[in-house]
Amino acid sequence: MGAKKGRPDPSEASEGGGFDMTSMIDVTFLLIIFFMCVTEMADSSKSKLKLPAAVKAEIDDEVIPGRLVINILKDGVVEMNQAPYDDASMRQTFKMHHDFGKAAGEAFTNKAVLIRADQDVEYGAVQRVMTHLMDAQIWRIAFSTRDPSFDHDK
Amino acid sequence: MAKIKSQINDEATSQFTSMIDIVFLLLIFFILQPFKAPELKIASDLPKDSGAPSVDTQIRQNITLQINPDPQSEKHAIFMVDGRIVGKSRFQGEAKLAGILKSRSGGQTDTPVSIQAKPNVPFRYVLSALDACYQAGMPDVKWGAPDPSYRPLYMRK
Repeated sequence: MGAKKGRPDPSEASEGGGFDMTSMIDVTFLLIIFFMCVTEMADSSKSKLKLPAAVKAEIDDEVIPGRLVINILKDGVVEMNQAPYDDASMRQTFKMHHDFGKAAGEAFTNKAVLIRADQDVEYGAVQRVMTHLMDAQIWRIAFSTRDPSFDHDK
Repeated sequence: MAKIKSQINDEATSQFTSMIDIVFLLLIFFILQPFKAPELKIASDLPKDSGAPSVDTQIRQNITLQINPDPQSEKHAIFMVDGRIVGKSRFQGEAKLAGILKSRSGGQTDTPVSIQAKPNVPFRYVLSALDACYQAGMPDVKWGAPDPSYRPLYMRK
């Protein structure tokens, strides 16, 4: 007679089958924080390079929407947003960037184009990019560097 | 009376769990944070080829900083200031170079420095030279003309 018929009471089910999620949430947060701190945030505009060290450099923490980031790999390949660029496509892109900057106003054109070149790339490859930038009338550049105080193999 | 005491104790101890969790999370965050190396940048302006150079630039004497590859060792480059060899540089030779540039300018930090590097020099030496200029307080850097016959390494393979 004690057996109940019909739909089960939801309050009873939650009491009986409830899980203690506290420790799982703790572990999840620990993992999130660990990966946030150890790995860099994925940024498709930045290729994996070994940047040269510089003492007199400033932290690049400025978020500039639409900023041109040019990656120059060790063998001289030029990449933007993970795609390789040859001379013709570079010229076209820089021209478009310049035109866009002109339309956007002085505040945008004063922002430097970021050149991220591998420390072992030949300077000629960097000069090639600089020449195309000059041709497109883009004068303000900044070179990405790494902080030498973080080098453990000094 | 004893029952009330035990109830108070139970309530007091059970509140610490989440606080300890948060403290540990913060502790781990701040322990790991210094290991994340920030990316830095060093700014420069490219030469504007349009228009005549200003009178000021014509009067001031440029310091020419040449960087040539060392034929004996790929790990080194030969730095020359106004035609005189100032030594071979490793990664951290900028301070010495900055001192030379400073003395060469005679304290006039507005003296332009013209960096002329061979196209096959590793880029780190050119950036070292730029860094040295900034360390010497001489940010007016001019870039040498490129070699039109240069082809990047991946094109030569």
